[in-house]
Amino acid sequence: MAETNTIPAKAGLVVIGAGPGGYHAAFKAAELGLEVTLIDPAENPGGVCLYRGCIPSKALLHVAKLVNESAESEAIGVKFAPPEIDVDRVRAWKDEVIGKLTGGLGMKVQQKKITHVRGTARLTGPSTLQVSAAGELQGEMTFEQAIIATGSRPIMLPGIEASDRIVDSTGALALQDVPGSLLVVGGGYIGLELGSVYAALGSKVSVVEMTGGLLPGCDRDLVSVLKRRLDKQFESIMLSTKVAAIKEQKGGVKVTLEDKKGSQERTFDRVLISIGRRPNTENLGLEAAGIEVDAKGFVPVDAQRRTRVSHIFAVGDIAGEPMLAHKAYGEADVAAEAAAGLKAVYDPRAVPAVVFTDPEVAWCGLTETQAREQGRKVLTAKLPWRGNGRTLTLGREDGITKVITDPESDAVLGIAVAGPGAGELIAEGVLAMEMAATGEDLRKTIHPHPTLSETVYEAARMLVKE
Amino acid sequence: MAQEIRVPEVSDGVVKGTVISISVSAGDKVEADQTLLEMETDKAVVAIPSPFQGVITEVKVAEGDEVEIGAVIMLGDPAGEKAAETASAPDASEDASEDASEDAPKDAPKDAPKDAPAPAEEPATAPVPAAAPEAGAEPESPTAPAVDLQTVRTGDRVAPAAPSIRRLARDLGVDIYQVQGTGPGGRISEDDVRTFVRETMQRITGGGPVPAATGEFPGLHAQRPLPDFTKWGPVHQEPLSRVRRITADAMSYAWSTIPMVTQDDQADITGLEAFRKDFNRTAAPENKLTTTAILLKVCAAALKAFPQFNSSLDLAHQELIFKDYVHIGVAVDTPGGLLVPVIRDADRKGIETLAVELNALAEQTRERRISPADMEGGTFTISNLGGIGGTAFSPIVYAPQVAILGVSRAAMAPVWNGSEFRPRLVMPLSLTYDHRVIDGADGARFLRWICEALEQPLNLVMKG
Repeated sequence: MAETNTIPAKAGLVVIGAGPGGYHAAFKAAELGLEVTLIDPAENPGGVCLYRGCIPSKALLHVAKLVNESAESEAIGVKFAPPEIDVDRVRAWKDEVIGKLTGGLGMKVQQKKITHVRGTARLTGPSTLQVSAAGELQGEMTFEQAIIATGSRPIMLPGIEASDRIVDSTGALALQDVPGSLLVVGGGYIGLELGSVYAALGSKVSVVEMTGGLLPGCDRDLVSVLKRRLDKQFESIMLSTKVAAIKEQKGGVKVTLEDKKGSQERTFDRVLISIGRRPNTENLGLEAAGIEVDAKGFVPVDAQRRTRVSHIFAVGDIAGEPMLAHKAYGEADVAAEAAAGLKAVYDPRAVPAVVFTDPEVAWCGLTETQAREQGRKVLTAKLPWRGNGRTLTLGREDGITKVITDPESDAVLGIAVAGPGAGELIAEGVLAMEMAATGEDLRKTIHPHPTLSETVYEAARMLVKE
Repeated sequence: MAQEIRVPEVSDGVVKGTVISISVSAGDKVEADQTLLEMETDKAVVAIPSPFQGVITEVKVAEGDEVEIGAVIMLGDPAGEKAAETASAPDASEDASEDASEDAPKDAPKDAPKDAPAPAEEPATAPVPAAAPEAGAEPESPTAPAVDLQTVRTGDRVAPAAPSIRRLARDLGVDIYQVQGTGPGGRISEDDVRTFVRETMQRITGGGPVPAATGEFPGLHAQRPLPDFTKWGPVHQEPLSRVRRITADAMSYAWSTIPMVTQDDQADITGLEAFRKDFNRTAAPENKLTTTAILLKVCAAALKAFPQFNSSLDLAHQELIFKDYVHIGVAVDTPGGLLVPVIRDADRKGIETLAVELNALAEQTRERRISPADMEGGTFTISNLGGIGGTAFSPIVYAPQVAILGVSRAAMAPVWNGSEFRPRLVMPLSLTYDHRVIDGADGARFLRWICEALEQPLNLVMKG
């Protein structure tokens, strides 16, 4: 660990926050020859993604997958006894995964000769900041340029405090135990992923969503592929339903649920609040540097991720939606290059979205819903996976691949996939979008057989009348 | 069935504009050719007419929106479907089919407006900053290229180029949105970017002609980093208007590429002014004779007598291009900036006709109701600041023209007539010329010719 307790008086580039946006920016800037100081309270870089987000949730989802597949394999002639789940070992394994990855990043910090300062930074002016650790002022420093990447945190329902029984995603990922019943408040990707984990581990999971569908913003046909399976795994999915009250009692949490028919009270062992995330832009001293945040707390940035104060950049969750690690990577590259004087701009053609449920749901570029909202004419091909050889050999029948093109230019405008492994398949769509590929390009690309990727090829073939 | 109304091709080199006013709203009945909205382009404010008679069902743009040529601005129901199909919208018929998901992709490239009739004028001869064929993109600045933001806003038509090609373009200072892609779906290749740069540079350095679709881009004239002005006091920023941006670009280009000389002279216009006042006593307002109208005639005759002043320099072909026509631009001060409408065939019109035309054109220009074509094709320019004052100034030649005449305020002055000083009305004239084309002696002769014609208009007939 390149941890130093001495705080340098001056830094060329200071990076505040060591999540994906921060550590990626720090590494890139160091590779480009800048003198970099990275400030973060954790021992090793990682941020929410590694410590409390993407990585632990994927580890737990892998456990869920093993459990579900072993149960389902009876249908194809392989019967396992019901699994015994050692929650302590699962938790320890998940923490080992985190430890390996964050430890690896810590090594990289050393290799790249980045000065790592443990603590939280607060700007005191456009070129000065203070570092504190555990509430104690550790020192002050001046900097030439800064990249701020302080990330986001889960939103709690107003008036509700997190506790042992009422948790946010961080609490759920800590996996203290497996509750008998779990209510997931919010039908977005975080709630559905964590709900899937707990359902597989044995909890009776219910989901309550205020709007009329799961995964708001995603095309309904993709959601329906996922919902058909979740309906079997979850106790109930309550749509168009509001949480009117949550009260922690002895032995459970009493929740008042309201829908069109009226209100009902139910008691759950645990409640997971997953209604969204908020950027961490408070207590950063942004105003002292002359930077304002918008109504949602995001820092406005230009195409190079420069804030109004042009030598201070903002990347990742604090720089706006979508709050995704890979968007932060892309922005971090641009900010680091711009800080090094290169002419980089952030202009991705598509930022993929992946929901790591089973089946996974992934999309990039224009969605059918957006095309309809914009009144834009598109060609859409939807290929159900029932006819795909690889799908059937996996013991599955669910899945859909969708390709959207421009009817005039044949340009690929969007690709969406729901099914096992959709998150891996979507990369082809993102590359197609970035390369300005046409439907013809997809049709002329030989896809390996038998794989799920053939569904992209087949969908592209459906775009032309034979 | 709803029909899309798209922005038609308005003028050569114009690829987009800003919606400044919308005259209809959803549900309105419209006549064919009725103005739907007004759009400010690089060259002028143009009215976009309805391609059909019928009802507007949806307005897809708002005032202040930037729209590209070919973008859908409204949807409407033509009163008669058949009639609408044959109506004049350049590409409305492209979208006849409603259910696109049933449609096979079309082979034809989508850029239908390219086929629309466009003014035949070569944009390079445009005389004025406002007519320079700037294709409308923001200058590439490392801090705010904003290319992506624009496309996100319209949700449409991102430049079809791979990330590596977009980076190449950025590194070369090329706005990727101005590059014509030659690949499938208009995809832009490295060669396309390099071709664009080569052709642009050839043009800037006096090389051969460039296809109209590309055109000159601003940003060639690099600026050093600005200091932080807030160190010395409060500041505020206003975005440059299109006219200002294009003027800045054209002026920088002319200043940095043309070796210019300004020749001053003065003309005794006592007699001419007496005649003009006398004429105007009985003239209707639209017929009012201005000094500029008289100068138009005099300059037109001078340009016939000195044809090198009516030429353009073609360094690539090592030629001087003489124009057999005389179209004179007149700089007009408008609230939106300097615009230069062009009076056609000034040599073949009488002063009365020129006066009427000039009055009408100046009026239209001030209201910014002239078409881009009205500002193209000038061969010489007159800039008359006499109405404001001043004793002399050095106008800047509007490339690719080679000369411009500046006029300052006429004043009474004692003039020696050989035996005594007499009070005469004297008008200062300043001629700036491209010294690569015109020698000093010719410059002096040309301006003297103009002065003598003003002093003794018979010269026009004698010499012209």
